[in-house]
Amino acid sequence: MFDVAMADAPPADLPPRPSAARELPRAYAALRPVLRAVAARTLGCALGHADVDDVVAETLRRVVEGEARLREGEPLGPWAVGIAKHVSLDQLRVRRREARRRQPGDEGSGLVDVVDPRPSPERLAMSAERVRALDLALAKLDEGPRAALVAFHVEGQSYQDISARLGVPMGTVATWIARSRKALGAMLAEQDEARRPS
Amino acid sequence: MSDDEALERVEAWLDRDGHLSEAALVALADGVELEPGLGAHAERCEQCAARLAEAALGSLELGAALREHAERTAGAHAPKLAAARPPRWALALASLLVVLGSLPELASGSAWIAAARLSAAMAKRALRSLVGLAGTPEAALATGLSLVGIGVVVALVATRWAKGTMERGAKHELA
Repeated sequence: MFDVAMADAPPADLPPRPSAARELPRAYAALRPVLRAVAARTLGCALGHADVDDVVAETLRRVVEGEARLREGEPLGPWAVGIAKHVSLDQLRVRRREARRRQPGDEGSGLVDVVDPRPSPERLAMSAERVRALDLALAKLDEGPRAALVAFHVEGQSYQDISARLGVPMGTVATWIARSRKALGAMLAEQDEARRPS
Repeated sequence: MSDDEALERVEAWLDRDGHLSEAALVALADGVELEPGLGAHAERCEQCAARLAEAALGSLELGAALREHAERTAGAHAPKLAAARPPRWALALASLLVVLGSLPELASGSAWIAAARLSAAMAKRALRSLVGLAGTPEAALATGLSLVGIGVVVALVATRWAKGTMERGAKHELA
């Protein structure tokens, strides 16, 4: 199994990203709390459970190996969270398979009924309506919060870079992003509700 | 940095009850490196970990939606070169000018006579050449190649026709 301590060493065989070449090991270490939280939540177990350690270790291994494949503008944190979620679901699949194997007389069909974690094609193909809704919701945000949100999610800028660019402390950037996400989520839910046939 | 300053920096990210503030959770969820004690707290406190997971999964979903939105918006505003129409008015005007410029010559009839004479002379020469070639090895080769070409064309047309007929039949059966 992958040793979590490996995350402190820079990957030798991967080309470093130009913007964060020297910060990679620290960036990995900073991911640990959120990866643990997502693993525990998805697995439905406590933070101290051994499976959580396994998921975090495997996620960090995949992040180190696949970081070069990160798309332009895609931030590292949410990408790693996505991997943690998938690894956790894989772990659940293994658990269920083993549980079925242990049940006497129930060999099962060999098929595992774990929901595919990937978004459905319908969800992937964002409808024109959804684009308009997001346009409207973004337009309702204040300039600073909107700029911070877009800079992080679309341009892939770090909180530090956004802080320097917008001339505000990092705490303000975090607060803006938190409030923007909450406001966008609420506005989109409201628009979904309005469109739903009564 | 003194201990007091460090403590102040940590406390800025905490709620009154000592748990992580909303801003701290969002920053940690996005992989931002904060003061060391904050990450350690999130790894121990089940309550904060649950909120952190929620924030991280929300960020994941909204981020994907925003990137897709940005791609689609950029695509909608990109110049549509492929769909650009040719300047029809310019083509029509050019055609009109050509016709108008040729009218005096065409009206006099001399152009038609000259064209007819030229065509007749070319046909006569071509016929003579063919007659002269008849019976020579070159003619035999040319005839053979022509027959092969005609055969290939007939085969292609027949295959397409047969395929079209079968597809129409299949559709008819399905209907």
